[in-house]
Amino acid sequence: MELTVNSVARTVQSPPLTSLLTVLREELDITSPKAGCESGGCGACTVLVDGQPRRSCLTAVCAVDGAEVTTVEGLGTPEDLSRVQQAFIHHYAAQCGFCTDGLIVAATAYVGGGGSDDTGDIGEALAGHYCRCTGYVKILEAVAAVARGDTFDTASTASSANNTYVTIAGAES
Amino acid sequence: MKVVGARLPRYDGVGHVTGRTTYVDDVRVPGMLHAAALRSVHHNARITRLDTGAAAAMAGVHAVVTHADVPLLVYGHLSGAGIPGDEPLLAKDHVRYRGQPIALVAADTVDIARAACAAIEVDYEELPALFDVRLGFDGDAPVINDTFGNWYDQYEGNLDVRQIRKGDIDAAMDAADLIVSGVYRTQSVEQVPLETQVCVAIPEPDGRLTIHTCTQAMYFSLGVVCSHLQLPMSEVKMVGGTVGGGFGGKVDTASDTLTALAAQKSGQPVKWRWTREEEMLASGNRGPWHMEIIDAVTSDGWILGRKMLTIHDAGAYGRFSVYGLTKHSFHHTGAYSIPNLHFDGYVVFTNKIPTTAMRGYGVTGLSTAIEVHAERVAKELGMDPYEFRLKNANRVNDTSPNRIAYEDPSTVEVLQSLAAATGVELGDGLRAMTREQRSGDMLPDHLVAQIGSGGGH
Amino acid sequence: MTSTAAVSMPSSEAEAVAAVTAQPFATVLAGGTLLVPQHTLGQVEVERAVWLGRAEMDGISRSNGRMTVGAAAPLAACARLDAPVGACAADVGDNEVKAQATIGGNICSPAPYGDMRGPLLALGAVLRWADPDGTHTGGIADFAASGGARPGVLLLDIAFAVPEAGSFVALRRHHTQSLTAMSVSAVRGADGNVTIAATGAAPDACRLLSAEAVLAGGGSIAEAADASVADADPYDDVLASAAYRRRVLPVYVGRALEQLGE
Ligand SMILES: Cc1cc2nc3c(=O)[nH]c(=O)nc-3n(C[C@H](O)[C@H](O)[C@H](O)COP(=O)(O)OP(=O)(O)OC[C@H]3O[C@@H](n4cnc5c(N)ncnc54)[C@H](O)[C@@H]3O)c2cc1C
Ligand code: FES
Ligand code: FES
Repeated sequence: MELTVNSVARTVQSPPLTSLLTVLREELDITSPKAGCESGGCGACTVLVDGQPRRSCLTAVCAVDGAEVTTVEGLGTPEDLSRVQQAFIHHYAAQCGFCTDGLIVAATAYVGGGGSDDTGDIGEALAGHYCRCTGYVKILEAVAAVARGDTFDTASTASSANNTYVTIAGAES
Repeated sequence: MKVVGARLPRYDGVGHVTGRTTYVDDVRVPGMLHAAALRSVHHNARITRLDTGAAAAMAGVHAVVTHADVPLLVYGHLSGAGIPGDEPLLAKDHVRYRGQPIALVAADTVDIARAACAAIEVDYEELPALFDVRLGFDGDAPVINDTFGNWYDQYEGNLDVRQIRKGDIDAAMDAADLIVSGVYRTQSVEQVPLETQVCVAIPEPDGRLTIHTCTQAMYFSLGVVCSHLQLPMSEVKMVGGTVGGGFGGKVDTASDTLTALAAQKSGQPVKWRWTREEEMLASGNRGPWHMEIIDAVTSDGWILGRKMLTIHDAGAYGRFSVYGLTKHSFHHTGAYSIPNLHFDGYVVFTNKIPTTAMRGYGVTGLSTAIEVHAERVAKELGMDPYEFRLKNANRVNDTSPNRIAYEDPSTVEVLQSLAAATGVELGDGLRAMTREQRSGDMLPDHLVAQIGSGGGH
Repeated sequence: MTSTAAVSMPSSEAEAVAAVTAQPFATVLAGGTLLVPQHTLGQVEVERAVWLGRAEMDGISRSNGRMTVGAAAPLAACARLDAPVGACAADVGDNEVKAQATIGGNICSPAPYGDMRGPLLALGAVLRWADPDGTHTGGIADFAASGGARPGVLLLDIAFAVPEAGSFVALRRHHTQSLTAMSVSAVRGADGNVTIAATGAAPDACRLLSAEAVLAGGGSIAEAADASVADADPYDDVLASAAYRRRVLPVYVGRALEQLGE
């Protein structure tokens, strides 16, 4: 099987039912997609397949033969960070960082698809992603800031003074 | 002041957002084996036979570790504090909770390791299990813990109960206008870090071990590993600090020692990453707490005294539970000042996962009980719950249950901010309150004795 | 178990039928949202698999008042249909899961998955499936009675009459990843009759015939809701206790019927 991973053509030897997550991590040594649950429940393994966010742990590699796969390594480098990556730093949206790679991938697809800065919309788009550290508020703010077109200073952390309390739809008291 | 007050970026931010941060599961070592565990399928059972022969003989299997391979099988998490160990690293002849590890297999692939686990032959003799702490005290309850019985029995002074006695609880009850009691029971909670338990252990050519650990408590874990392995600390190098979430659940050193043993036995690097199911089934969680509170209060809203009984569900083994209960006892008045106290707390064993730390060990469930109770007392008194709380809120030099004088209690400001944030209008008197040492109206007779005594009384 | 099972990739329904029913019988791989993790974690053995992704079995079409949905249609597409099917599909997982999971895979997934069986039962949907003996049609219950999903069996499509009105209510925690403890689907057909089905009221999806009879006899929503308990076979699982299921079923039946505008 052939995959284009982060713009590089790769030949895959793993058996066809192997999950894309296992192929990326164990065969291709691309370790940003995380094995948080290996059963679709956490979102930490999310990658872009032909531009669409997809759970690599749920995807048999044979089903993406010939596809273009992008992981967070392919979105930006330390020297040349994407705007979503910059926003996650500036807004302190990553704590332990284990959910971050999947979230950045999904958020990239969201803003790339013209997603709004409405935290309700963002919450719906990212709903499959668990973050146990941040409480989500800073993630929503980071993604909203990208959608708004903010610029980011990655040498500092954003002030939380203007933070709004984000209300998750349906969770109002 | 270059740092204080500055809005510094995270030092690990760039690594986190570019996929470059190396978590334990991302460590790559040539020739690495993969491990899987055989775990108990019963809550309480005797192991009558354990035969690893077929598993060890399977192609691709490099080591099968059982209790017989552990130099020091039983070591307590609080051994350093003089609390005896009760938990074997691997079950020997008895399993006391479902999910308890019995053996670890290291093999070329995780699939082979899992298949080998399935090939290990275990015969069990199932025993009645105990799940309800309240039944642990019954004469005919099954005995859960070999070392301590059904509840921990080695507190200072040879007591089987953690006690706090402060002031004169009987006088407080006698003087009360109203006595309000309540029973509160919180459930167990799994920490659910996104990164499951994971370890990579590497036998080095010089005979030492390198252990890539997800522990939250590096030096503590080093001690645990070296104790079980009976190695001097100079023989073990722990690499850590990058943790994919822990929230208390990664203090227990749940995977390092066994992975190290498998690496020693196979002579090859070994990775052991738990599945999400294992993490939910077998990793230490926040335990359930059974709390009974009886408050003696006056009709103008002072809490004169509190009598409390706590039964902490430790699960099958002690781990940190005695510490958790002790912390709980120190905090059992919450953010409020109560001069007369009578607290009894028990650590009770059940056939469940041994419980451990999680965000405010021993205190989080307690806070729920205390605040719900405060709400009830205020309601019984027909008093504004803010007024009730603010009156009793800790002030400078009030003393805690363990007789520490508070230097900077923030309860008053927290309550005032909470009211402001939620649109509650406090009256002038309540808004004007401060944390300053009690005087005037805020210093009723029953509180005089504890002020300024700085730990006396 | 990361088996070395070969996977064939048919490019038409006919090829898919041939590939699945050939010896040794093949396991169907649709979206893979259940099969792939089971396979990774060693919970299922697969000797040979057939992937439906290129078999052009994902069409959704409507003609003469009947809707036909290909088994490989993703739930994201099904979510755009009217209630109860659309509302139920929209309730499964998050956007990423919905984009990948198929309706056929959902029907073939054991409880506590398989939410789609509820609305399809209420609609009296007709399933078409192939096995080594040929092609068969029948309802949700008939498919289950025939042995359901297993190697060698391929669900082809699902057809149902577009109802006058439909409703769907579900009992689940407020998180996209939480599974549905109970759901009630109600449908009013062109003849004015109301059919009701539930998941989570019994170990598998079931029709609530007693409640339907109360409505047919002119009873009120409340009476129908109360009657529904007679059709239930409540059970304990990790999502809810039997006692709780028994208690909330009438509540959800009531809500579904109110939504239907009964
Ligand atoms: C995060 C997450 C959340 C979820 N939430 C829900 C939920 O809320 N409600 C719910 O009901 N489900 C839920 N599920 C389960 C999900 O609905 C099913 O996994 C999905 O619908 C299965 O479809 P699939 O195409 O991915 O099936 P696959 O994983 O490809 O297959 C599942 C099973 O069905 C068989 N199969 C698939 N298609 C056919 C066919 N055409 N003919 C014969 N056999 C077939 C396969 O062989 C396999 O045994 C959730 C899953 C995940 C990962
Ligand atoms: S690892 Fe794929 S969703 Fe959790
Ligand atoms: S930052 Fe730790 S899980 Fe999100």
